[in-house]
Amino acid sequence: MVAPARFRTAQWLKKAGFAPQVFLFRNLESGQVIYSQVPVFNQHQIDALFQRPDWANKKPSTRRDIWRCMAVVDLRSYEEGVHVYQNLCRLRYLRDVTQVKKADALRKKNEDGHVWYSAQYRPTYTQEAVADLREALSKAGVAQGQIHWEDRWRMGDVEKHWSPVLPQLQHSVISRLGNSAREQSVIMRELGERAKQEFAKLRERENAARELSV
Amino acid sequence: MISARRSLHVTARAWARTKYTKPKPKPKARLNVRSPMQITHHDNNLQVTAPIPPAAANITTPDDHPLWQFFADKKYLRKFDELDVDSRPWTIPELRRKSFEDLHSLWYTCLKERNVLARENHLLKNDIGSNQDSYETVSEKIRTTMWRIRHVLSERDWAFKLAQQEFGSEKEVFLQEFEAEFLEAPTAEDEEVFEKLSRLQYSVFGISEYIDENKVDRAFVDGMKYVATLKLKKFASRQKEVEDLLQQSNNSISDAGEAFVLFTAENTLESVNEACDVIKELRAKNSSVSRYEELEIVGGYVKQLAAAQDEKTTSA
Amino acid sequence: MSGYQHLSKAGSRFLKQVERRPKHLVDHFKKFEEKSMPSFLVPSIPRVENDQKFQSVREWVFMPGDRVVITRGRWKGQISVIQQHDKETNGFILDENGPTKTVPVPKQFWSEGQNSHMVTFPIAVEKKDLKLVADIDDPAAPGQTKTVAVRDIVFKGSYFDENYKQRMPFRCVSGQEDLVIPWPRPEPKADAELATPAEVAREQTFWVESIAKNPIPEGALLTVRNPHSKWRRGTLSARDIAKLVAPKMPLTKTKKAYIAEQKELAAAPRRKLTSEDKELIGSKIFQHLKQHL
Repeated sequence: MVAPARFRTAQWLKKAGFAPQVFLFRNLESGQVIYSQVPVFNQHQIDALFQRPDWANKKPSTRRDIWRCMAVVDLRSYEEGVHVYQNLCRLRYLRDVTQVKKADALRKKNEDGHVWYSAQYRPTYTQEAVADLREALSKAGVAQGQIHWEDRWRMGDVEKHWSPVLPQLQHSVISRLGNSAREQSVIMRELGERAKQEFAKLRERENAARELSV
Repeated sequence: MISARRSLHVTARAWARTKYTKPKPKPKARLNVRSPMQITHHDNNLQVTAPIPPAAANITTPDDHPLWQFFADKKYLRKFDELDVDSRPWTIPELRRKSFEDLHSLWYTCLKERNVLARENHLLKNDIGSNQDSYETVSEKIRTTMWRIRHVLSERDWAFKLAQQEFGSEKEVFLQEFEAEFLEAPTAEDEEVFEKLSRLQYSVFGISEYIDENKVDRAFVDGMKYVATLKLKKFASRQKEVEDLLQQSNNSISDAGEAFVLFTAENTLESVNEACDVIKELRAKNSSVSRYEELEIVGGYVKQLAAAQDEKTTSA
Repeated sequence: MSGYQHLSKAGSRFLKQVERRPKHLVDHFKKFEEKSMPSFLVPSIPRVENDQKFQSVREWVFMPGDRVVITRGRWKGQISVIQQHDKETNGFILDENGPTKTVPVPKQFWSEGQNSHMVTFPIAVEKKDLKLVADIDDPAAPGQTKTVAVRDIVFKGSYFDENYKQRMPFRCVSGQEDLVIPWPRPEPKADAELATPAEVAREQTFWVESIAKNPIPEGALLTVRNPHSKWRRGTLSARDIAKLVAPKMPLTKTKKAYIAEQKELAAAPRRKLTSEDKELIGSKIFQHLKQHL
């Protein structure tokens, strides 16, 4: 599968056989996160999401071995998926360009006043991505949906951060049985298949309801 | 700058229009309009929010997690007064009394404890920055036990190898002495004597009583022949047919097949008699085992026997 | 200082150099140590080097629980009980009847419930300043005991002490060696976590059963002993000998020529003295003698 090098509409995604999902990938070295409409990514996403690279927020490479899927968001329709993706990209733009100072004020700093880091790793980027995901979902008016996290740890305190804002959102964890890093593409394909089936069921149910009401 | 074409396009119409000219009617709404491909747009009320830190509380570690083996009582660091500083290492004489299985398990017990101590010591030195050697002292004691275990096993191996060399020259004499004693024993002591024989076959030839434990090699086959001959000699004085067979086979069994039949027969007159009958049949058929194929064929027999015994026990 | 000294020996050679102080400077360093240390940490008797530290009961002579009398200093004649050994100084810490010192302690070292800077600590006492006190039968008043101090103690023989769980020597009075002063009973301790019960430790589970079968499984042997160990003494192989013996030095040209010449000379036939030669020599000598005599 090759990632498209530009923005894709809901219709295109549907026609190309993708599920109504949004994907988050995190960089194992630096902790940076990229968002994608399809279960792969390429230079296009990196260029779009890192518009103001500096020494603390370098533009990451596309090396596949240092990127892992962090979360997969299942949504009710393709339009919703695209909307959430747009929101995520916008939020990244706000953080990097228009509201840099506000975003920077929220970050944990080390004694030198820089973003806290250990070697190359800055945990704040991943944590910001989680916060952005919540913001994007809530502002997009996504009532129901499901987030498949890579592990329980990453989502944070559900009671404190998620339930008050998005009470009906479901959280689940991607199975880590076996070599989940190596089988990542297979796992994501399976998740996609399942989401597509869910989507088809939902449509059927809606159609049946419409017919009944007619 | 306004492009000439566009300005002309707009201004010419404007100039041409007077209050008398009627504006053109609006075109009719088209029916076959394609709806826009992209309808969504990002929200304009998005806020930058505080990062959400991951929560370790979400993860519950199972009690049987393998990494718990590196912790003592699931503690991050034991206090110094919780350490066992009084115990001494095992001494070599103590370890000499223990079987291989015991030593093996003791070794792993030590190893696990040393892993725990090494982890704690590393944290103490590296995380806390102390130069106390309390964990290391205990670990050193355990290490002493561990090298002693290896020493004892090595010693045992040397003893075995040297004994084997020494015994090579005395084996014949020993077996002859045993044979004389074995044959002289009266009928009443049969049970005792045969028990002795089974001990001997394990100690000299390495033939275990449990047939499935055995590995068929030269020593096994030799031992089998020796035992078969002894059995035959023992019962030869009691029955004429057995004596005949013994004389026919020149006072010793040299064929592995025949030896196997006698070897597996029970230590009673009847079963030895039966075995003799079988051997006679074999000889009548002229079927004998070649010396070159002995090991393979006897190995096959032993496997069959073990399988048969297995079936018997499972069905029972 | 990195926290990896316990994992790696890198650089330990240099650390050892620092630790090894020259003998003539030991006292000098000690003086500075005492000056720089807070007074409550300075021991009253000098610390001893590691190799001087007492190890066995024969060296300690007195064990915790023994009654002793102090023979020197301010507390001379005081009888008290030994509380513990001070392993740093080879000294003995006594109970409340023994010597103490009162020193100021900075606040960060205060223990709970402390409300004064001045704290009273027990002082360690040296072995030579103590004499053992024992109760013995009074010969003057039969049936009664009297308390005496023992001037000197000798050790004779040994026995297994159940209380100490080890072999202990008999502690006898010097000069009257039938008088044995028993060791004090230590406080009983429960078996620690790593201890094995005695009956389990003593149980024999290994018996030599066969000479044809190795008591150790084949696979375990490699982990027990390294068959290729360079410390294993055995016969030297040709390779080893070739490595150990120095190669023969090739001969120089001159040497070769010399050897060849020698050979040639050796091969040449020996000349024999003929009678003419003998006569010639005789005549020469005759001439010589005639001229000089």
